[in-house]
Amino acid sequence: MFSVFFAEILIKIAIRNLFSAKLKSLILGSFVFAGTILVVVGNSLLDSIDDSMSRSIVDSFSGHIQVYSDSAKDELSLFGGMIMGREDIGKIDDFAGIRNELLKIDNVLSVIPMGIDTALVQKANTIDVELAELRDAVRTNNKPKIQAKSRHIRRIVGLLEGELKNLDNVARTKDRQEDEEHIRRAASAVFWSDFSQDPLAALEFLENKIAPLSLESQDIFLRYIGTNIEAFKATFPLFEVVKGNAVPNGRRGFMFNDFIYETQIKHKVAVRIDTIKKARDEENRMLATDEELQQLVRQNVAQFKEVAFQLDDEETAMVRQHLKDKLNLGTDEQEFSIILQQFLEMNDDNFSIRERFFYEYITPHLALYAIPIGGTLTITGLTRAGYVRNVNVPVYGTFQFKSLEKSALSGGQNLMDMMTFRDLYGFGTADRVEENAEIKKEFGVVEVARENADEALFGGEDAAIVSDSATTGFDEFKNVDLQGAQRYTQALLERIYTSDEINTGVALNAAIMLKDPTRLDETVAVINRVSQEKNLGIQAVTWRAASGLVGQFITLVRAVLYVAIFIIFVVALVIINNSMVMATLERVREIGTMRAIGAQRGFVLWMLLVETAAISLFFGGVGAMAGSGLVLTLGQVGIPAGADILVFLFSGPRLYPFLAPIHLVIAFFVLLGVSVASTFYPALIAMRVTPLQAMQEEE
Amino acid sequence: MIRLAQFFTAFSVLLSWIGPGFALSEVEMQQMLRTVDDRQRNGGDYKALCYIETKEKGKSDVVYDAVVYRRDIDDKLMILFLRPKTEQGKGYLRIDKNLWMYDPTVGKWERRTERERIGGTDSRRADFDESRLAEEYTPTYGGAEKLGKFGVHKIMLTAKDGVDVAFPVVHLWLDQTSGNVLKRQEFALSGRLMRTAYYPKWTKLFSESKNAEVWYPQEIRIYDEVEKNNSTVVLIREVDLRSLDANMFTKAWLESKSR
Repeated sequence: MFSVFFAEILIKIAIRNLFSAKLKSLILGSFVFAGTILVVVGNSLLDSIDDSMSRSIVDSFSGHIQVYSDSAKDELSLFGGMIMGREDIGKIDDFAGIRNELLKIDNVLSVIPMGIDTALVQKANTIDVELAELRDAVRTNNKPKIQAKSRHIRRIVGLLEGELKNLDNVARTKDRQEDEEHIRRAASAVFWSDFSQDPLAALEFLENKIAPLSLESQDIFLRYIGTNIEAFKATFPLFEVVKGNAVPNGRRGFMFNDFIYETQIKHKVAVRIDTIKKARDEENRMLATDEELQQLVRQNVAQFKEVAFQLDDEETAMVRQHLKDKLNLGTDEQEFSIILQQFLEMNDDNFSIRERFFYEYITPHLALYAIPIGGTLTITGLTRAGYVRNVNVPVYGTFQFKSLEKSALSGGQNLMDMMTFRDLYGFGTADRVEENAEIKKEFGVVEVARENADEALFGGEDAAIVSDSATTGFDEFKNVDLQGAQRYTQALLERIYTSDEINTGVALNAAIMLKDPTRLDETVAVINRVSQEKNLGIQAVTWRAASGLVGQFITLVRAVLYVAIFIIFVVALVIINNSMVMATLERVREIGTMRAIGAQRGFVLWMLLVETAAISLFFGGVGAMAGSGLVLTLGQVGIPAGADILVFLFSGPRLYPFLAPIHLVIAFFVLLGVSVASTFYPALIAMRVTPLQAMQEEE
Repeated sequence: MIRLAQFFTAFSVLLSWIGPGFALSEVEMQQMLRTVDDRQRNGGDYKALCYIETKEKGKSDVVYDAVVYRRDIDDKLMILFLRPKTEQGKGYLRIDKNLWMYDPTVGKWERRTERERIGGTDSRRADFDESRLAEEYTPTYGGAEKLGKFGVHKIMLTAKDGVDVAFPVVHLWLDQTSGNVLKRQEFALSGRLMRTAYYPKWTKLFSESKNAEVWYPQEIRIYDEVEKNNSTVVLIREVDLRSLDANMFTKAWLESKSR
């Protein structure tokens, strides 16, 4: 029925009509054009981001699959979940056994133990740090160090004295007067000349009376992954050491994520200068016009003490001389603190020179990082058993995930060896549990429920609340060895653990790398089935599910894109539909005439369909080509990651989108659907036109 | 001074007999608080063996055997953990407004705040320290009530300006007969109830340095009102009021015990 002849006629009519109403065709076409570009480019970008983000997550620390306890109360969320505090994801008691079972599954390449938790690190204030070092020197009778530290602390006391004098005299409270007296005493020559007579008493005075006047300590919460660091290095291709070294095989140790090290552990004044430099160099922001950068400069000027306190007399003299020689800042009469504040008052003209000066002449005298590489980090954690646990762990270096160094999201995790993690997380060993049980038994405290505590404690007939005691005293140290805990921890730090020892014991979760990542969902199902069959007590989830909100991000963006595309095409559909209805009404005579000379209703329907299809295919085709061209061009030049979050999503500083045939197929079907839907109603009107109506139309 | 305190206590007891609806004046309440403080204060030194047991839902119990040292004359306090083994040698030291914590396993001192949960339990520094209610809080009367079989005065306390305390608002239930604290509720500034503590047993011991009796709660039961499943019991097992070494309340002394 539908011959080539008819097709030729339909196409000719369609083309004639389209050219006879050029403006209308152009308006319709532009909607189709824009919609097609959005479909092609949007889908390409999203798939590219999905692909790169999966690299960011899978190759940094999640692996393709994560497993954790199937009795977990909360869902595993590698980047931190919605819960304030700690998620409770249960634990895998026998990691070694689970690992062996998982390695038997054919697509599993490797299994890495993990435990993610957050701990507290206290960055003490400068004077407390200096006093602790002086105390250490006194303990070891290190005379040169005692002298050097004394000089330094005396200088800090001098700065504090100056600061206290500059305070408003109106607010001279009793406490303030006492503080002034203490400062005067600590700054006096007599105090320091007498220091050697009773250094411990002098230290107690400085620690309790002087140091609180300069409290600038800061608590830092560090999120860390306890893991087998050797296996971690070998498994995750994005891992690379930035400063120092990786933790040696089998040793206890800690590695900072370089992002955290540079933003939280580094000296605050240096961090602010780095931030300004980055904003100027990479984002073309100017100090003169940028309120945020000006605020950083103001903070540096106000907190000049963070630099001044760390310089001893000799270093102060050196920096003072350099400031005068190199920057022509300050006179011999001026106080150093004033000159330092002048130096920190940076603007666009002097920033580059002063930034270089800061790193060349000042930072060598500062503790640039609160915890240096090679130093010891004291981490405080609350164990699962409830005890506050402090551990000392050597810091071997910093690491980053390749191309993601600027991403705060990937920069949030530090690395710790598995043994320290287990200590800090506090799974009680059998002997500890037994000891606690013995102590409890010794005292036999009877539990009283809170609901009826009033009555239970004070309601009984025998409730006597006062008794007499006639103790003669006691010796609390009888049969007690207080050195035990210290000996135990020192021995731990010296141990080298075998891979078997690291794998044996508790882990909270584990990362699995697959041989063939395309079989991800299938392998998750296999692991879950094996866990049920063998009663392993674990559940497997994909990297996307384990990434929590981060993993869902792309799904969210895709939903937003589809809603946008839907709206555009609904608008297009309405406009095309209206245009076609108008066109049909204008063409009643023509259609009626056609019907009179033998055109069937089907012919009329096809005529309109072909017209719409021609517009859709032409402009859609041009749109698809333009979209493809745009994607291919972007694929060559890349899209820069303007914000830190984009670095993570793009798996690097630029996204190189790719074009997949599926994107064009989707665009084709979307267009087809819109064309057919928008022609349906006008076609219905047109099909009802009869030759009689056409003849009744007025000229 | 002591006789005056005893007189006021007797007076308040007499008032409570007159009728439970009789409100205490501010002076009377201040006096009751001073009596509570004075009874627990020793003129000389104080040493107590304590047992702390904390229960948290889903976790094994935390237990400590500790010794508390006090030198009330210059407001010094020290807590040293004796058991279990992993906690041995850890300690807190309060000097003036500084609360220090020492951990021998890392060999470091850290500054802590008034809100520090001692050893991760529900107890605070103030639970072991001498009572400073009159010095730190301003009272208002909450009424006469019954607590079990005991008639009690309820007194609401608000922290004085500039005083650093763990809880800015405290409600006390004082035994009308003995004047002892039987129950204590502590609130955050927002008005949220944070802890409820009970003092069901009080013991008194003659102090030579004070030449009077020193009172101490033999048992403190603390219920965490935020984490409803958490509770802590503190037992003060034995008190020794003999003089302590002059150099005890120092970092050096505490460090030396575990070195």
